[in-house]
This record gives sequence, structure tokens and C-alpha cells, in this order.
Amino acid sequence: MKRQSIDGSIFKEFNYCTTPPSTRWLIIVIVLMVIIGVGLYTFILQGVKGHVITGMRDYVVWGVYITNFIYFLGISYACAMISCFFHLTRIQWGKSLMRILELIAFITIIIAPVYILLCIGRIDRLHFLAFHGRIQSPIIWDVIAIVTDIIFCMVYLFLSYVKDFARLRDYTAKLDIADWKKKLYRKLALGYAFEHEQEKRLSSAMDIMAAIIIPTSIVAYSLLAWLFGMNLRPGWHSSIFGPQFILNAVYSGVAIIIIIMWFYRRILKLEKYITDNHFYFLGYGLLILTLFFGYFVFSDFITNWYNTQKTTSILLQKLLDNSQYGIMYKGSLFITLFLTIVVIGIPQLRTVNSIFLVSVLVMLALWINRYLMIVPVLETTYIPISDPRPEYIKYDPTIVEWILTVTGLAVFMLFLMIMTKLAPVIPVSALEEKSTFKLFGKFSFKDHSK
Amino acid sequence: MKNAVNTQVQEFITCLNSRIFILSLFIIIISLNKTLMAQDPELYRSMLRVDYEKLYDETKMLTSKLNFRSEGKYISLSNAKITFSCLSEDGEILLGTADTDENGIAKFYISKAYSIPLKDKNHMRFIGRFDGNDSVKTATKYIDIKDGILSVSHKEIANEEADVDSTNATPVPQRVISTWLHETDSLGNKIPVENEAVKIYVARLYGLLPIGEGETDTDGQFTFDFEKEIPGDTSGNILLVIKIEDSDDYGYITTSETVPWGMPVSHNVIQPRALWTDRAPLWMTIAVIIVLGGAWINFIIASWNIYHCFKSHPKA
Repeated sequence: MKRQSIDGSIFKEFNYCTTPPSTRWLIIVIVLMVIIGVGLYTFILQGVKGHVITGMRDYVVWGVYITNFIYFLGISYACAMISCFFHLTRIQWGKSLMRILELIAFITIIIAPVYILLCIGRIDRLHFLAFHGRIQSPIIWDVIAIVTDIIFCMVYLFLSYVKDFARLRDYTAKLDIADWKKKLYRKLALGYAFEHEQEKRLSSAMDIMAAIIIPTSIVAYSLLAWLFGMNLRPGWHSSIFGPQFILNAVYSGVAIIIIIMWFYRRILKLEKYITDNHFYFLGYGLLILTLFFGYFVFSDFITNWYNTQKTTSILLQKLLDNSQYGIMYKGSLFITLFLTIVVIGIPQLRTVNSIFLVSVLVMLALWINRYLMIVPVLETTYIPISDPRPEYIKYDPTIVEWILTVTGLAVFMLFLMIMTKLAPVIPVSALEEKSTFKLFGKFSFKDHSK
Repeated sequence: MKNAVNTQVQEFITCLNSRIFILSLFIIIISLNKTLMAQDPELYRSMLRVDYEKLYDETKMLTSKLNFRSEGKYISLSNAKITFSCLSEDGEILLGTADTDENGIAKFYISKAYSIPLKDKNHMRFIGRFDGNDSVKTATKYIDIKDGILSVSHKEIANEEADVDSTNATPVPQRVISTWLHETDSLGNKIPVENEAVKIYVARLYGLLPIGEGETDTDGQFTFDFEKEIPGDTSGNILLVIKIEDSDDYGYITTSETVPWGMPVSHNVIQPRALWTDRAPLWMTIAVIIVLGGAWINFIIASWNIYHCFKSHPKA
């Protein structure tokens, strides 16, 4: 049984997908590609010359790269979880955000593992992981989890696009657009014809995928936390590391969706689909997560501080000392705890732009938070090495590491821009099903009466 | 009379004044000297030791140890560059440099393929040099070494008499290790070296187990009866290490020989399930199977749905 014919007029509101790219779009893409080109050159340079051109030495064997790895991976898992949560609960206002969340989740999970490759001194031995890996090793857990999640996220993203590709195929058939694009839509739609049986199968597949992505993401990010937690190092060997990682991830996930939403709304004029309420709802979410974040930070701090060991005491001293990491530590806590609560908590200060600005600062502060979770800990060992040269003890990131960090951001933006040109960033098919807009007011779970 | 006393007093005062002047001058000179010294502090005296070792594979290793003396204590100087060279009849030849570690030790290896020039008929001279730094003076040390050749062989001699009267019916053969130390003259003739101390060890996992020592005889030979019962590998092989240590003429020389005189020890022990063995704990394996299996089974079900969703609609 074929369902009622689809009106493609809605795509007129998303004509940026079917029109040629603007000059501004092309300029930004060229700039991003130049940055990526410089990054590739730096990548090769590091491959040839080795870690000596980075700031990583005998003590701090992980630095900015692993910080980026954790950061991007956290964003990916959080966005995947939030997207799947919106899908399963059928929260209407969340539907507009699902596509953006899925895109962020997919792009960041592709970028993140590259940073872990950059941390490996002997990249030529990478295949040893497959041939000599032991199931007891947290590194193997992490490799399995990331590979699993990349596959799941890719499949889920594609499934969420299928209906829109099918509609674009039908809509663009009579439009004067490039043939390759018409062919592309036809191929990507995989023959989807909106038949009842197809819809049922697709919906079922998406429900299953959403249901497995949430626990997989939680387990995968916990495994990453345990990669650190299983080490006998001050500040790492903590049983709350797993939950704390998950919370930090969701925190950064909510912040980044606010940022991307703000840009999309401004640039693509999507006020109809991304309303002020989206910002307020997610802002409230950010506020609640701030309180949880503060709870975890306090819990971690007081446990280390109260019955402190000598090495842990040195670590805390470094974090509080303004001549070392004090300014970064206190600054990041000021933003993530105080500023967020003040700006979002006080109604007079709460606007779309202020929520956006706070989110940008929160993303920055959470990156610093992760940096402080890695570098000072590695600089503070229980047993010093036998050859403690000054440059071995103190870590200073080099220009190479910063270039490759900026390259990661450039790749993220480039992917996002290309995917935005391919299909609407708002899941049109999902929106047409229902348009009720209430925060947790109406869980329109799957209607089995249809 | 009064004048005479006055004259004596004046002479005394003059004399005293001149002494005070000299003393003051001395104090000023000392002070100035100290001030000058403060601007140009005295450098610490350094002490360099150089040793030579010929390794198993005939690679030569030069080891230097650099110390300086401060407040009556010897302190190792780390991160100092030591230049190694050797002397030939034509002059000094640079071999290379090495940095000292935290114990003040720098090691430099000379490949077997490199032909070390001689300074005279049969001596090699190795020179270690530290060029000094802002705090420590320069130091140079050389050693003259002759190229000793240490060789080893082993054999079992049937000894039927040894255990005839014992309860052990199997005759225990006599196990003999023979070592020779010699040097070569300019014509290539072997010249035995006598009265050099030879030590014999068995290589163990964390070091060398000494089993015997003695001196070379007039033929340059030292023979040792191996009577120990020492665990070997699965075939009963053990690695003997023979050393000449700290010889004035030959430095250190090391050679080795594998002999089948150890007690065979089977290493095929079944590893327990543990974090540190190749076999993971059972609960961990089960947990991984459940978690991964749970996720991938659902993925397969979803894939089945996707396959049926698209297979009958060839509109693509």
C-alpha cells in the first residue's frame, strides 16, 4: 500500500540544497581546504620527523592530541545519545535538531581517532593492536568501541537521510539542477518509495539502531574513561571517572548543538524550525548539567584533597598555583560553574545570544578542563624517571600540535558545510509526521493505530 | 732623658703606623682578591675515567665516567658531551661523541667492521675528552689497550670410573670448559697471554651467576671443570659467559658459549587466566561477548530490516 503522495514544496524553504553554492560558501570552503592542506603537510612532517617536533616527551607522552581526541569523541557520543533519545521519545521539538546532532556525531567520530594516531610514536606498529592485542587491555576495549560506534553512527545517519533523499529525488526530478546531483539522490534513496512496508521496516531499523547507539555510546565513553582510570596515577585512578566522562560529554554535546544551531539559524534563515524555545530548552539543559558538573568536580576535588597523598597534593598544588595551571583551572571552573548559572539562571540575562555566547565559552572551558585532566597529571609522577631533563618534565605544545588542532576544526566545518549542501539540516520527513511543540509535554510515542 | 723617651715613643708610633699600614694594605688586597674571585668563581675540577670493553660480537665499547668534586664529595655530571678519539701514527682520529647520563656515564660503541688504528706496534690508544662548561673544568683521559682475543670451547670426557662405586649407575662424563687468551703480533702470529684472571658466569634472567675463576697459564689457557647442576632451557642449554675484567693491558673482554649441560626445564606451563597473562579472566571474556554480542545482534536485526526495506524496490 503506497501512502499519500508527497508534496515537495517544503524543499523550497531549503533551496540552499538545490541551488549552486554561493561565492561566500566557496570562499569559506577554499579557506578551510587551505588550512587542511597546511595540516596535511604538518601531519606528514610529524610522520617523517617523529614526535621530536611536538612538545611530547618522556613525561608527558599525551598532550594536546589526546585532549582533542577525548573532546571530539565526547561530542560525538553525546550528540549521538541526544539524537537517539529524541528519536525514541518522539519529542516533537527535538526533531528539528536530530539531523544536526547526527551530523556532528558522525563527523566528530571520524576526526577523533586521527588524533590518537598522532599520539602513537611508532605508527608502523599500529597493526600490532589487531595481531597482538589482549582483551584485558583498556586500549583494545577502546579500539573495539570506537570501530563499533563509527559503524553504528554511519548507518544511523544514512537511515535518517533516506526519506529525505527519496523526497529530494522526486522533487528534483523536474528541477533544473545538475544531473550528477539527481543521480546522487536517486542512488542514495536506494529505491525508497514511501510504501507502508518500507516505512515499517525503516522505522523498525531506526528504532533498533537508536536503542543500541545510546548504551554503546555510554559504554564506549566509559571505556575511554577507564583507559585513564586503570592507570595508577594521581588524579586518574578514580571510580567516578566513567560517569564524570559521560556527564562532561553530554555537557559539551548540549553546548555544541546550541552553537551550531545558532549559526544555522542565522545563516540559513531557519527561524521557523529552530525557534527561540530551542535555545531556552537546551539552555535549561545546560544549566542542569552545570549543577551536575559542579557536583562531580567538587566530589573529585574533596576526595583528593581530604586524605591527600604526597603526589596528589603536588598535583592539586599545581592546579591551584597561578604560576602553573591556576589561571586555567580557576578560569575554566568560573565559566563552567559560575557564568553558566548566572547567565542562564537569571531571566533578565537569558537571551538566545547570551546562551550562545555561554555555550562557546563552555566549549572552550571544557577543552581546558580535559587538558588539565591530562597534562598536569602526566607531569606529576609517583616515581620520577632516571633522566629528568627540564624539557621532559614540563610540557609546552608546539606550533605543530596547534596547527593539527585547528585542522581538526577545519575538517569538522568543511564536512558540515558539504553535508548541508547535500540535504536539509532539518529532517523534513520527520517533521511532517507531527508538529506539536511541547517540552516533555507530549511524548508522542509511536502511533500503532496507523 | 725626657727627649729620649719622646723619641722612643715617636719611633714606636711610627713603627706601629707602618705596621698598621702594611696590615691594612694586606687586608685590602685580600678583600680585593675576594671581590675579584666572586666575579670569576673557581671552576670545579673534573675527573674522567675511560674503560674499554670488547663485547661478544667483537663490537668495542668505550665507557667514560665523569665526576667533579664539590665540598669534598664526588658528584656525577650529567648531559655532558664526551668526545672519543683514538691515536694513530699519523695523529688523533675522532671516533664520535656521547652524552653522559644521570650517573655521569657515557657509552660509545665501535663497530666490528671498523679497523682501529694502532698507536705503536700493538697498542691502541683511546682518548676521552670533556671540554668543560661554565662550572666544571675540562678533563682528558686516555687508555692504552692491546687487542686481546678470548676464545672458548667445551667438551665432555667419558669418565667411567667416576661413578662405579656410587648408587648412580649412569657414568657422569667430565665436562670441561677451555678458554684461551692470546694476542697477535704484526705478522699475525698468535702470542699466548699468561697470568690474566678469567671469570666464568652463567647467564640468568636478571644477571650473571659466577661459577668459577682462575688464571691463564703459559699457553694462555684456563681449563675449568663444570660440575654444577643449573637449570637450562627446554633442551638443557645454558649460556656461559667468559670474561677478562679490568685488565691493565686488555681492558674488559667478553665472550660466550652455549653448552647443553643445564637441567632441561619445561616452560610450557599453562598460564592461569589473569590480567597479566595471554588468557583473560573468564568473567571478562564473558562480559565482552555479552556487551559486543548484544550490540551486534541488534545491528544484524536492523540490517535485516534495511535489506528487506530496499530489496524489492529497484527504483534506484
